[in-house]
Amino acid sequence: MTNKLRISIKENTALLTIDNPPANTWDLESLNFLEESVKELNNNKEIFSLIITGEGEKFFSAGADLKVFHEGGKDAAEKMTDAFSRAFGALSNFRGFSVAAINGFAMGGGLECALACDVRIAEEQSKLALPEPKVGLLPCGGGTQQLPRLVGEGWAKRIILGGEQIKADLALTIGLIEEMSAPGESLKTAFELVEKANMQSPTSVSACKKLIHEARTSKESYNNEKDPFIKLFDTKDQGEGVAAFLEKREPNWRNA
Amino acid sequence: MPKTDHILVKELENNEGYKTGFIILNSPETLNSLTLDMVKGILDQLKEWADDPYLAAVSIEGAGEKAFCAGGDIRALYESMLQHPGGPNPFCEEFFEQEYRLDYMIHTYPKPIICWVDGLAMGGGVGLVLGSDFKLSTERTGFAMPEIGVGLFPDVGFTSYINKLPKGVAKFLMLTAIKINAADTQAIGLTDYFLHSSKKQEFDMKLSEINWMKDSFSNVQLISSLLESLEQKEGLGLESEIKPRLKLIESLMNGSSLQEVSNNLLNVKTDDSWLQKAARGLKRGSPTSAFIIWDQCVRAEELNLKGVFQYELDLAIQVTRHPDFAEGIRAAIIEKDNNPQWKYNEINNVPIEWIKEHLEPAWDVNPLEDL
Repeated sequence: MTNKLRISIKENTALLTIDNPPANTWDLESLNFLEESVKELNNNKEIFSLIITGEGEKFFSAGADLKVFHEGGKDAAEKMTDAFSRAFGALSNFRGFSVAAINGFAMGGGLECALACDVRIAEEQSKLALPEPKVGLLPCGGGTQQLPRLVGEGWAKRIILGGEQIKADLALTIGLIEEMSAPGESLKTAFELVEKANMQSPTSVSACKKLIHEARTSKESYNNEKDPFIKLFDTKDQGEGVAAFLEKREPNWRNA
Repeated sequence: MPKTDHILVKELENNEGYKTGFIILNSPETLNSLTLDMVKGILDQLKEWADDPYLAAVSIEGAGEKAFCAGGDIRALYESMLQHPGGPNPFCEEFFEQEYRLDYMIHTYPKPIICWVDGLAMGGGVGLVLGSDFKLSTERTGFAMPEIGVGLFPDVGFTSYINKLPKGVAKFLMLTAIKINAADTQAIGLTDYFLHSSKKQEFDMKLSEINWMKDSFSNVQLISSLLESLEQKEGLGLESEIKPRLKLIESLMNGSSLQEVSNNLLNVKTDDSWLQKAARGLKRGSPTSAFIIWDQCVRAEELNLKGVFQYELDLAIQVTRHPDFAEGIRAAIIEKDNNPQWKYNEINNVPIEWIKEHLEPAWDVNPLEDL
C-alpha cells in the first residue's frame, strides 16, 4: 500500500490518482503499487475500464523523482528502470479500456504513463515532454518505443531529441492526445469516454485491444482475428450481446 | 500595492531580474482573519504577479506567532446579516464570492505558491492553504474546520478535499470541529513538509537565493529540493492524535445516514478524552450545519473544483439567509455566552424541508459561473 497512488472504484471503472505532491513524481513504491494494482484490476471482473489522473490542478506527473538517481547511482537506476518498465508494461496490457486524464504537466515518466494508456485527454494548460536527455538520461518507461507509433518518427524525434515541450493544442494536432478539454474538465471527459466503452462487451473490448497491440509486430493482416473471433462464442457476453440486441434491451455484461 | 495595511507585500530580487513574491497577512490582533479588503488585496496582487514573467514563486504567511489565518471576518458578516435578515445581502454575497475566487485562483495559479502554516489555520485560512503547492507545517500548526460551531459549514473548497483524506477523516473533522496538530496534518496529507519555525528565516533567505528559471515546472523542483534540505524528517516532537485512531474514525463515520453516524460518535463508550472532545464538538454544533456537511460528503463524489466552489457559494448564501449562522457568531464572538440557540437543536428534530431550502440555488445564475 502507498498513499502516493490512490484507487477508487466507480461502478465498472477504476480511478487511479497519482498523489505525490507537489509534482506527483513516481518512485519505487508507487511504481510497484501501480503494477500490483493493475494486476488486481485485471482479475476483478467488475472492472471494465481504468482512468489515471494526477492530484491537483497543475501536475499530471513530473515523472521520476530525480533525487533517486542523484543519490543512488547505478544500482538505483537499475531498480527504477525495472520498476518503470514493469509498471507501465502492466498498465499498457491492462485487460480493459484505459484513459489518461492529463490535468497539467506530463513530463518524462509522467508522459510515459499516459502513453501506456489507450487514450489520452489533456487539459488546455497541459504541457507534455520527454526531457530526460536534458539531464543526461533517457526515457526508460517506454517513451522512445511508444511515442513514434503515436506521432510518427519526426515529431517523436523533435520531442525527444529536440527537447521540445508540447502544449495541449499542438499535442492534439499531432496525435499525441486524442482530445483536449477545458482546465479542470479532463476527468469529466474521461468518464464520458469510459461510459461509452463500458456499454460495449468487456470481453470483446479486451480481445480487440489484444489484437490491436499484436498488430504492432504482426506481418499478417487478415488471419489474426479468426481465432479470437471464434473464441468469443465460448463466452457468456457474446450470447448476451446478440440476445439483447434482438430483444431490444440493454445487455447485462458479465465480463465472462 | 494593496489598499489595506492588513496585508504586506514584498518582492525580493533573485537572479537575472527574476523575483520571489511574499504576501504577509498582517493583522495579528485578529489572528490574521480575512477581511473583504484583504481578500481583494491578495486577489489583485496574485493577478498582477500571474502576468509578471519575472515573478517566479509566491510565499504566503501570517504575521505573529499565533496564527497563519484563523478564518474569515465573521464579525463583519454578522453585522451585515443583522441588517439584512433573510437576504439578499450584498456584503455577504460579495465576501464569499471574492473569497472563493481567491481560493480557486490559488488552486489554479500558474506559478508555485508556498503556504507557511505557522500557527492556526482555520476555515478561511485553510482555504488559502488547500490550493497551494507547498503546504508547510511547524510545531505551532493548529488546523481546524470549526464552522459547524458557528452554524456555517466547512467551505473554501474543503468539499474538494473530502475524498482525498483517509476514509471518514474529512467527515470527522467537519462534524466535530476538532483542532489537529502538525503531526496529524502530516499523517493525513493536509500538509506536505514539517519545518521547525526557527527555520523560517533560513528558508526565506535561501528562497531569495534560488536561481529561478523561466518555467514554473523547473521552479517547483527547485523549491522541492530546498524544502527537502530544510525539513525535519525524524521526530517532529509531536504526537499525532489522529493516526492511531484512523481505523476507529473510519468505522464511526461509516453509516448510511447522518443520524446513524452522529449516534455512533455520541454514544461511543470510551474514556478516550480526545474522542470525547470530538463528540462534544458535534453535540455543540449546529444540527442544520451537520446536515449540510452530510450533503457535502455526498456531493464531493461528483463535483470538480469549479463545481465545488459554485456549490459552496450557493450554500454559503443560503446559510446567510437562515438564522443559525448569525446566532452561532453571536454566541461565539459577540456576546460570548457560548450558548447558541439553534433553530433546531437536535439532529433528529430537523425537518427535511428545512434542509432542502438550504440546498436550493441562491441565484438564477451563480456568480462563479465564469470561473
